[in-house]
Amino acid sequence: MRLWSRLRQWIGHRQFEADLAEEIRIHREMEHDYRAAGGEGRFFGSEALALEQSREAWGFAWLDSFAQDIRYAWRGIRRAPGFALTVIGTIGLGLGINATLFTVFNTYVFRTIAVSDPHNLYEFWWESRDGTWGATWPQFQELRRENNVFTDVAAYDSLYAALDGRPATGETVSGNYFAVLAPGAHLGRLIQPDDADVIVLSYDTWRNSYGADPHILGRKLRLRGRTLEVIGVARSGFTGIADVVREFWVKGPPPASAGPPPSVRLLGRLRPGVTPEVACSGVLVWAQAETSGLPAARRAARTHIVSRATPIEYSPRMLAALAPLFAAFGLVLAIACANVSNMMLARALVRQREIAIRVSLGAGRTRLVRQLLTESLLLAFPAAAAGIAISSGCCSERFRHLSYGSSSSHPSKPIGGSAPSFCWPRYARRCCSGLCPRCKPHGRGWWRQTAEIFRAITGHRACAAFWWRARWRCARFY
Amino acid sequence: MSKASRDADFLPGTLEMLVLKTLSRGPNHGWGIAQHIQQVSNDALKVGEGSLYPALQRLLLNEFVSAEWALTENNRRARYYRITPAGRKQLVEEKRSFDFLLAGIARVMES
Repeated sequence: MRLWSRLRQWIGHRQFEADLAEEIRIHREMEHDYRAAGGEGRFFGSEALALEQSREAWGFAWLDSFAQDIRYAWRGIRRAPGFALTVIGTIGLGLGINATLFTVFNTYVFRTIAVSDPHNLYEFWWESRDGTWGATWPQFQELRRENNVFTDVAAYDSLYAALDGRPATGETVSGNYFAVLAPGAHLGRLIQPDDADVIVLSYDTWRNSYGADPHILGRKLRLRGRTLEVIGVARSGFTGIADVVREFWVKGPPPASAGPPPSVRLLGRLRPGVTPEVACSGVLVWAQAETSGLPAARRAARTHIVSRATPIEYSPRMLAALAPLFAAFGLVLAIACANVSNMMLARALVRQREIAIRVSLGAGRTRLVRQLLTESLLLAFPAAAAGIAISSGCCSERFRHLSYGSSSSHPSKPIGGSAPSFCWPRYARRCCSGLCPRCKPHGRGWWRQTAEIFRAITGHRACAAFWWRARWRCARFY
Repeated sequence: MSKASRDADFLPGTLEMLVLKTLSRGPNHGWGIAQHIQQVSNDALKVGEGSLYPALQRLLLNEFVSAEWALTENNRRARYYRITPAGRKQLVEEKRSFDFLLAGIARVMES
């Protein structure tokens, strides 16, 4: 109720001002008449003060002063457009590349793949002494029957082939692949163990290459000289478990051909109570027995098991590998912030006079600080917007192929979604840099002047002393 | 601020109660309210506009009074304030807590 009347009052606040001024004028006239008639008058207060306090009762005085601050800051920006553009550009660039990095990282490392219970899904393989690895289809069939650490094991292998004359990336999968992953179907059904000569399309392929044709089921497609029938479209969001988007799935094993037997990659769901380490040694024992007939160098020597909850496993090793990249990008942002802080400080030194005049005219300290914060805010919002624009530009379709080298037509993971949310916390940081310069190497004069500005604004010697102390602490390192 | 406001608002919220009490006798304009309080209190309470108008705004905000422009008996335009049912309830409430407070003060002073 109160909020509503406040809002109503604010919308019509010109009328409110006019009414109030008129009312006080009439009050004075009545008072004047009363005195003229010989009555004892009352105290005449300041009209401006009465108006201001009445306004405050409604609680939108701060809004007025905020609007004033914004107007004032805007005039300051108009006076020095080069400064504003440099700040916005510098911070925008720093934010943009960081947001891009985070968005890509999020897509590959944090976003789980679209299958049921992704955290129970593991990929495993064994390696021989001479470095060869990978199982064959017969080995997969045998492992599936004999293992006792996985509830089920599925096999898949990537397949790059022309699908109806168009180059496409797909997978040859075992009959139980979709039973193990359970990603769900958008249309029709997914591959089952007793299927043959069938193909399942990804949602994006169905939409982009076949115009989201609702009658696609039963259509015959040509792939490597075989004619395959479309039996279903996978649910949107499921693009295989590898980091490269898959466009179709066909049932394996592929027809026998000359050359070495095709290898497969193995996926398993752990039995309840079995840890990845236990599974790892279980597979090793099985693989050693399986390869015991081979020459010593080709026998299984090691097994590996990695989580397939995300396209890239989130592990300390991966973090260690990416840490330099994060540090570099973070440093770019830090440098951008330091540069802007320096610029703002240089500007603040020039404005010392202006601030001193405002203080001597009676500007309150909170008002001054609020004013400086508003100025920072006015620069921070366009800078953040620039950051979002840069990062969404980097994550857009045009640049996606960069992650796959020059001429590849393979689409990569759909990237995006998180850039704005990544940018939000940075607003706060940007706002603070207007008040709180955190730069490094500076001469004595710089620190003294910073201290003086702070003293001018806050009136506290303590604050100035803080800056002096900070200066000495830094001095020890130079 | 002013001496007058200290007189009438010696306890926070008292001025609002006095204004509500004045308006409970009938609609009145700002000057009329100040005049009434001063006369009835035998010149003890002088309400300046610096405290009267903010108080009226607070009452308007809480919808304890409503306001409309009308003509006075001297044919002058003025804004008349009228007490609302919520305002009457508030007056009873404030009077009770004020009586309680006054009784407390009296007991301390007489002990």
